[in-house]
Amino acid sequence: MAKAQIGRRQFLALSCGTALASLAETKFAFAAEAPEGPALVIVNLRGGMDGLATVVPYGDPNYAGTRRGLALAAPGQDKGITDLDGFFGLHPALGFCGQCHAKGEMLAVIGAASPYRERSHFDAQDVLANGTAEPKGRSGWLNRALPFTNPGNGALAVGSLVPLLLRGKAPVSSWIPPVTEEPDENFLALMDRLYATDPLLGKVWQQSRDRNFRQTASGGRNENSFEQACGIAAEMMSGEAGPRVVSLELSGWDTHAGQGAENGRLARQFTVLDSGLERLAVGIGEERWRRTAVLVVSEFGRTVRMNGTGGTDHGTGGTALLLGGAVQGGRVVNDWRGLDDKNLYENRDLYPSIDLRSVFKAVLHDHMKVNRKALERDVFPDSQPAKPLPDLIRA
Amino acid sequence: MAGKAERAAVTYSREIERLTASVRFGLGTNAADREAMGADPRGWLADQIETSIPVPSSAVPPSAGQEAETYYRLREYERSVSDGPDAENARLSSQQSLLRLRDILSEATLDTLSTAVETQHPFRERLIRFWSNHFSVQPKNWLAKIALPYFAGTAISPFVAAPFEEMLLSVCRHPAMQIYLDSGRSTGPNSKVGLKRGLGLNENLAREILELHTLGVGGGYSQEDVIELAAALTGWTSGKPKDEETAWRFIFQPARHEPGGATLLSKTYPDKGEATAEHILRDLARHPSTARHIATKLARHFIDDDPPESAVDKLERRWLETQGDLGEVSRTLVTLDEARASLFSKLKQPGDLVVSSLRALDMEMTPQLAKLAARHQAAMGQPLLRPPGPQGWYDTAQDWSDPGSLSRRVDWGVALAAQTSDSTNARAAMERNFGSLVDRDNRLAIERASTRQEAAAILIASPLFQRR
Repeated sequence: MAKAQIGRRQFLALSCGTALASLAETKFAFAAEAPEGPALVIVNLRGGMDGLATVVPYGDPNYAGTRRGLALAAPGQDKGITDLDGFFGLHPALGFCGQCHAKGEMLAVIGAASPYRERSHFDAQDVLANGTAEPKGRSGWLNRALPFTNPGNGALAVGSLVPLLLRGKAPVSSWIPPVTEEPDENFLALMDRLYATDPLLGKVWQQSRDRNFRQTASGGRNENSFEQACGIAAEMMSGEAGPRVVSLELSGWDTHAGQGAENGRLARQFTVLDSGLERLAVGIGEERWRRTAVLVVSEFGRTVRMNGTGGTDHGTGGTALLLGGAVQGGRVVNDWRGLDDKNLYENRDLYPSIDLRSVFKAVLHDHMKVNRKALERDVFPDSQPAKPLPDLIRA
Repeated sequence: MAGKAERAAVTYSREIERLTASVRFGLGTNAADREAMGADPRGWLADQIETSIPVPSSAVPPSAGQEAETYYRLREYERSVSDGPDAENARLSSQQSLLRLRDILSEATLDTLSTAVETQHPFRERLIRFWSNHFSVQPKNWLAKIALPYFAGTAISPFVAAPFEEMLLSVCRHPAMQIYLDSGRSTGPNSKVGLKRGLGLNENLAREILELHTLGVGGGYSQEDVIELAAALTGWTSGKPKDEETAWRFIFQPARHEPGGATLLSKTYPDKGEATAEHILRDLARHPSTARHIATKLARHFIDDDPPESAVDKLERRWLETQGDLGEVSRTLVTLDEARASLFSKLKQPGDLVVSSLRALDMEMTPQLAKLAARHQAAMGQPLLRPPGPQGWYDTAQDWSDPGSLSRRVDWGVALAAQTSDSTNARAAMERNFGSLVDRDNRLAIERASTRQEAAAILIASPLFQRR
């Protein structure tokens, strides 16, 4: 399997004079006490997010021609994209991300891809999660990294049972949204009594009570489930013994048809993602946000050209986003090769120019303080060519 | 006094036998189970192994060409990369196909659940579930989604009392497995098709056969063996969805078969076309590593997360004596003392919790109830028919005793209780499923509950009900 070539990278610096937008006032009181240690949140976008619609290379001469009905209006035009650096711009539905970028708290990585080069969702998701080049491993790289992060850091999967990314030897909790209404407090108190003496489940039950695992989102009724999950993640992270490593999932990115441009199916997905990220940032509060990095990734990108049903098919190079106060943002990290036919991967996909593991390694090392030896030996074995990207995290 | 103590001991051991049969090896005890086992729970278990049961309608492959329309519409939709007057039509008809596909899967989900709840042969059902998980298949693409619903019914159920090699062969010939692990497309590089079109091997199925289905990790095979098995399996595929004669059925395509035979685990197999792989698979099924690997897995699933060596040894011995006769091995399994000694040591997986709750309370299955149950099961982390990978679902308490998942188990107890009627008798269900093994506090909580529904909710949410 071919490894992604990491060639000379251009770090296109941001030139942006936008006034800094402040985060909306926090409605949660938890954030007041001093948070300790760095926190990492991974948002896994299942289905293959169209990276070229996320961070748009509007400066490329072939942009409008290849994207056709999917092409977005230039910055400054009605419903146009938000300029990031004079060449790339952000989808208009990603308002919160845009604010982060303007504050130097978001960076995008273009042409990012795992080592996987086929087109199966399942296998691609497995490779992304297991941190190797094959869909074979039974543990996730994030789980393997946990023992090398600060001691006492818990990990939490929100929205589903622990996904492969967090599976492995290190203990991980999960929070899954309830299907029906919560049992009443009397019933739960009875369960407290019955479970108290159970050798296997007593402690787990106690945890489920102590750590707000039972709590439904306290937000408004109109919140979507991803926003709810982000709210729950924020509340848990704000607790004193709260997790410092959290994974979230959002599916629905497999836009084969009717993808839309500034409006439509994909734009709605971006709105959900963006509002969830904002909810997370607001929920954990400014103090903790300063020590947080949020990594948004998807198993692969999509085809460059629009297909016959107004959508895009499974591709290769995609886009990853890194947000948070700990991020040295305001930049678009890329090794741009252009959208003309000869520069596409297999004449259809964006070229996979940056190994996602280079991003993961940088975040784990620079932010979560995982030592280099453990990174290469335990977390990402056989991945030496994927060198950590420099300067993603603030010194 | 001695007489009284002896009588108490006999009563107790009978209770252990009953609970072992219906809770440990079954799917929770309903009123019919209790009646059927009578005074001979072991006989009741043994009789279930050989029982022949009519094949449910869901277990029949789509007939010639059926679902071909569904599949081709979907493919057209995914592959159409050009604009044109047909694009809109393709989109519209694909939507119908997507709906049809959703129906197929949701029907299969509800079928799987209802079959387990309504079965009169719960041990046999547990065996089917064990082997379906041993040969896990994911609905990874459209073809697989159409082929998955009849996988367990055609490749697993008929073989739970047969030699293991027959089940292995039937699985490897099944479109659901061939699609899932890409073997149907694997092509010998020196075969007619391979030479003409420059195609090659896909090792996926071969690797999982060695690593997961037969010898196991550390079972003594090498990467070379994986390649040899993959080569031998070339040509094993299934008919195209539109082919009247062979759709959704196994076929052998000589034009894809890699010539030259194979050498696996130091044994040479001359090329006999389709039969080459069959010979190898039969040998793998009878290999001592396979016996050890699967004996351990059976003991871990039915007896304890940390399976007692003595139990594994007995299962392994029986396997070797009978060349992997699954009926005989299952018969040995249900007589193991170790299974009685560790009663209630295993945490039920969410799927087994859901089924055993519905059975324990003698619930009448309706599509609505099945849907509700399926949603709760997914929330506990085990969505039906969606295993996490070819290795199947995790099988130890550590994998399932998670605060989030445990909360959802207790929610389920309350939600299910809300569906019960006045005829639901939680106290009888408690007697059938806990006997005298439940602690006093828990028993009193159920007996003194203020409503029937509350009693049912407490029973299902009880810590002891999470175990078997």
